[in-house]
Amino acid sequence: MQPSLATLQADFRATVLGGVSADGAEPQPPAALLEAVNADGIPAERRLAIHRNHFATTLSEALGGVFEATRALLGAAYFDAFARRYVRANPPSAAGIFEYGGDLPAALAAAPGLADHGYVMDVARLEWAMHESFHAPAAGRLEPTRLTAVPSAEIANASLEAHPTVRLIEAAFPVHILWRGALDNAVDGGMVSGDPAYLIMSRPDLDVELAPLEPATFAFLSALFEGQSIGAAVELAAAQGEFDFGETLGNCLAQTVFADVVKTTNI
Amino acid sequence: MTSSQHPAQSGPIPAEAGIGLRAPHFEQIVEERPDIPWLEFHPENYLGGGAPYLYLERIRAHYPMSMHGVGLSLGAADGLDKAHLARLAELAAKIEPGLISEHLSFARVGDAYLNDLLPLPYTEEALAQVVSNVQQAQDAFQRPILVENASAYMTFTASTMSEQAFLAEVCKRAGCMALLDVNNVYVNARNHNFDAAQFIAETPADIIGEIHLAGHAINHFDDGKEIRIDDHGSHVDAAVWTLFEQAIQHAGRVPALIEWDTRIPALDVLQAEAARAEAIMATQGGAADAA
Repeated sequence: MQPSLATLQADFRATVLGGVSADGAEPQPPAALLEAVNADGIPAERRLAIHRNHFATTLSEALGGVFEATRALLGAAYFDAFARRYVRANPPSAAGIFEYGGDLPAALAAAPGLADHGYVMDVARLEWAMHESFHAPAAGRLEPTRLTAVPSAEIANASLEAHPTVRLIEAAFPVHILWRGALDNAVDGGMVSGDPAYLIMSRPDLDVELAPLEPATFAFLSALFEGQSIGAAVELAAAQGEFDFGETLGNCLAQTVFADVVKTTNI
Repeated sequence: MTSSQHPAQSGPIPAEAGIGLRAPHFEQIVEERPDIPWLEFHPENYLGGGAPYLYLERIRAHYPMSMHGVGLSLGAADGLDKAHLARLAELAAKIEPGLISEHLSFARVGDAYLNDLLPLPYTEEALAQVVSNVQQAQDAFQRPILVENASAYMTFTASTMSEQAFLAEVCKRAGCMALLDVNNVYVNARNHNFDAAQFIAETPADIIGEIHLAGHAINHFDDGKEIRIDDHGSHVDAAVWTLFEQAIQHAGRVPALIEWDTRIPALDVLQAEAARAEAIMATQGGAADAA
């Protein structure tokens, strides 16, 4: 009896996604699928292995492209082996491969042996944020006149919406220096020490731009993008140190930071 | 989307030799506007609306565009992914491609996308499912699509008809057209020991709306056996050019496309391949007026 189309495809999925055992042995495809394939001189396992390999290779290469600096820091052999296991355990749930891989930094953090290498996960988070920014929808930035149209008495209660391409990343060390060093094959041990990094990235047009922020500005924008009002964000920023609201706002309006101002007069 | 927002529409695809649009060539195409009759894009790469989409929007202003899906999974046993189909339809409404095509294969099983063009058994059950899925896609796009014969590294004992008979029947029942990939025909003929020329002769000429050309690799096993792999990573094989001549004689002039996806070369290498296809069309298929 031939399997139904649904069963055949489910068996194909199990074959492609089946994990390699601890001793490196390839999993055996379901017997019904092996019987459904004409051997025709070449065993069905070998034919199916082409698709197993294609899945792991194409997706791990795609991840290696997104997480290029992470791969350089971990070593290509380690990263590629990790990625091949990751893609089988976490197959894409969407057809657009650019949306795939956001869980990889967390999966790396849980990988055995990497607990003392947290800086790598910070680089991975930075790379994913840049990838997201690259693919985020294009949008206009907030026109200053939209903000000046808000009555001054209502400004403190209004909030500012992030431009879709904006991402904020913080790390305990200058993660952007290590990231750049890894891409340029010029890493040195000093790159994981130094002052904490407070970074903003956005995409004004085709290219993602990355810039460091003052801690107070970072606190201000983080609060805003969590949905807090301008008044509350200013208070949080001031608690971090010297903070000039007017100057910060002017700088932000000259860059791609905000998409819109939202009036929230009822709170 | 009104035409006033898009004054330079992508327009119909001419019966000439186009090139697959790939990210390494974005900037060059935007800046230099090379002489290419049309371009084909994979919609899955542009669904985010980000930088790749901005390039696509700028390129479509100057070239006829064809939308060639690789992830819709027309062979899926449980129908199409409605959310994905809606995103594709939204992209098509913005880019207004001259043609929309997909593959005779499956990629999604349940909630997992297997990032591949996986082979189908040629059975009545699969035929009914593919026809239903193609109709669902055509309803979403509000136009007929083209369905491409896929490469395969295995055949199924359950199959009751040939691939070309299956494809022709899909076109007949669903009202779609065929995208004849002559490299895939050749790869399958070598892998499954059939006559590639017969495949083309048996494909009704009036359903062939487009032809694809690409290179393939040969996977050699230790025991001397081999499987041809459709990796789109090299020049079109000499035997595939010969089949292309036959296909053009059979179908007449239709749009033809050079695909190159791995180890992507400089744009002028692709243009030279397209020029070779154009020369064959000029001698085998008559004047470029049959679009």
